[in-house]
Formats: sequence, C-alpha cells, structure tokens
Amino acid sequence: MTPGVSLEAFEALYRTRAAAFFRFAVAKTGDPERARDAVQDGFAQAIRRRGTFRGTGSLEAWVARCVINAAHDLNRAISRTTEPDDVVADPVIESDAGAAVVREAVQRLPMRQRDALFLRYYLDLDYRAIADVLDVEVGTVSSTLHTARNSLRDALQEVPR
Amino acid sequence: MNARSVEDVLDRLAPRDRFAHDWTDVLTRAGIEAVQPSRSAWRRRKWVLAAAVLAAILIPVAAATVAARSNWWFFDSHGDQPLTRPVVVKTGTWDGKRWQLVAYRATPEHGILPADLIEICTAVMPYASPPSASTGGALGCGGFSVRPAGSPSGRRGIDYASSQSADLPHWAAGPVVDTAAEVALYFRNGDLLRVPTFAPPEPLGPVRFYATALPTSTDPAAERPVKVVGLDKDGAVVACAPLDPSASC
Repeated sequence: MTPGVSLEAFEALYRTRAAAFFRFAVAKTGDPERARDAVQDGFAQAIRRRGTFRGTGSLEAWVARCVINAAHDLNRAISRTTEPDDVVADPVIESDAGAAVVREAVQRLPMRQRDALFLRYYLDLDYRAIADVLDVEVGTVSSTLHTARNSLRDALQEVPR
Repeated sequence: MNARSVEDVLDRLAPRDRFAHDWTDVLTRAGIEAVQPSRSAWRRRKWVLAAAVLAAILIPVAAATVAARSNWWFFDSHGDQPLTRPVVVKTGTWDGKRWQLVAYRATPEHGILPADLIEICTAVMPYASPPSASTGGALGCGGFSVRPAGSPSGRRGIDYASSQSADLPHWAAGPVVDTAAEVALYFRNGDLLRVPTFAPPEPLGPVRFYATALPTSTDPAAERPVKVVGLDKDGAVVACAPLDPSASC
C-alpha cells in the first residue's frame, strides 16, 4: 500500500463526497441503482488499486476516474442485455417533450464533453483535476467545457416554452 | 420543462437526492474484511468466539428486528438491518426548513463488529409524517467506536455524514462518544464551527449526536469541513476524525 493513501483517506473522501459522486453517476448512467453501484464499485476499485496511485493529482480525481470506469462497465453490461445506448432512460427528465429534447442534447455530446461537464458541475473539480481524470491537457478541458455548454445552450433554444 | 440554463438541465438530469452511505459494502467489494485484516491469530480466534456469542444473541433479536423495520424510506435504499427501532433524536429548522435527525443501531450487512465498535445509522431528512413520505434526506451507517480518541483501537469516536438537497441546506451530522459535549468542525479556510451534542431519547449505546447546517460559500470546497473533533465539557478532545487527506488528528 502506498504510504499516505490510507483506507482512512478513502473513507474520509467517501463520507464527505459520496453524495456528489452519486449525482455524477446518476448523470452518467441514468439509473439511481446503477449509479449507486458505480459509486460503490468505483471506490472499491480505487482501494484495490491504491498502490498505483502516484500522488501527482488529487485523490478525488483519481477516485472519479475509477467511478467513471465502473459506470462504463455497468452500462456496457446493461447494454449487452437491453439497449445499446450509453445512457439509459431517466423517468424524471423524460416526463415531457422539452425535457426529452434537452436530454437528447446531453446524450448527443461526445463522451469527453459529457464527462468534463459532469465532473465540473457535480463534483466541482477544477480544470487541473478534470484534466487528470480525462487524461488531457488543462487547456483542452477549458475548450471542451466551452463547447459542451454552447451545445446545450443551443439545444435549450429549441425547447418549446 | 422549465429548464432555462445549462445548470437547470444538469440539476434535472441528476437531482440532489439522498444517498445511503455504506462504507462496509465498499470494503467488501474491494475484497477487504470490514474487520481490519492485520489482527493477530489470537484476536481472530476471539472473533470466532465473539461471532458464536453474537449469533446466539442475534437469533432472538431477529424477530425484534422485523418489528424495528417500520416503513422508513431508508430501508428501501440499503439502510443496514436495525437492531433498535429508528428514533427521532432531534428536530429543528435550518433556513426555514424543518428537519429531523433519525438514528438507529444496526448490524452491518457484511460482517460482525469488534467489541469496541457499534454500528450506528444516522439519517437527516426533512420533517415529515408519516416517515415514509420524507424525501430529500440522506442516511449514513458506520462502525462507530465507543472508545475515546487515541485509544489503542485506533478508532475515532466520531462519525460524519453530510449532504444537501432541494429540501435541506448543506448539513453535517453524526454520532459521537457520549463524553463529548460539543463537536468542532474545522474548515479549510481556518474557520471553526462549534455545535452542542444531544442525547438520543432512547438508549442506542454510549453515543450522543450532533447536527448542523454548514456555512454557505461561493466556493463549495470551502463549505466542507476537513476535520471533526469531539470535545468534552472541559474542552478536551475525546474524538476526532480527519475528513480530508490533508488533515490529521
């Protein structure tokens, strides 16, 4: 185990941030049950692999990457048996036509844009941490977020008022 | 749909909602026993004995457990099995929004606790009646030390849960050893928030509780404490838990 990354550090992060990770995972998976599994599996994966944590970035960003991986694994498992899409229907937001338009706009975003947006909004990660999670340059994060926000704003214009 | 901004869209995509914390489940998924694996063979044997004794106790308790499971929402979302019935420990109002803290003593889903630990589940939710109608709350369950900070067990004597929802402001709450008269929350910017503890109306073990709304800030990271400390009536530290990898006790 890497010195400095104790189970207590993971537990502290979990106690304080699991609810935010859960929202992030709900956005990623579209399903609260699967989102919960993604959070639990993501933290578990991070703990199992804690010996590989280099400590150059934040622990939260590193766990976020594990939660993303877990969400992808769970979505893939579901899509093999049910539907091909990365994000599954969300009964809350599909309750009306305008919501569906916006939801589709979110789904249409390239995965990196979507992940950057979710990491920024739900986990409140700074650009440096988002860059660590997505394995891109910090400048790329800025432009990715800008493009994602513009795409969603455009979609909002199409929503019937 | 009333969404008029990207933030509205994202709020609707993943609403602030309750999350049932289960650290023991994380450890199990990670392949780690809830009981620390570094224990000696003797201590392991003691565990087997303890397991046998506890099993004998738990069998008659099982019937009571069924009765303890009323229709609280958290039993639909992975709340640990109750050993006592959930009780409303305290009610109050934050920012004009009425809340209640509900707690119960539980048995962990995955494993048996050491003798110096008890499992306490703490939920904070909007005040509602009947209880099943409540939404926008959060539940945290965890092994809670009945020994003070600095004891050889290495446990902390205080637990921490935090959440926020559309129905409640950002809050923090949890159990603390019953010698704690106050809990101090330390923030990244050096601020300190001290809140009194309160006792449960029914015995849940040697615990008291704390609950507070957290200060708001334009920087969400600044709203999160980095450490919580239990203080006795003389101001001595009796419990401590770091909440950030940078903090220590």
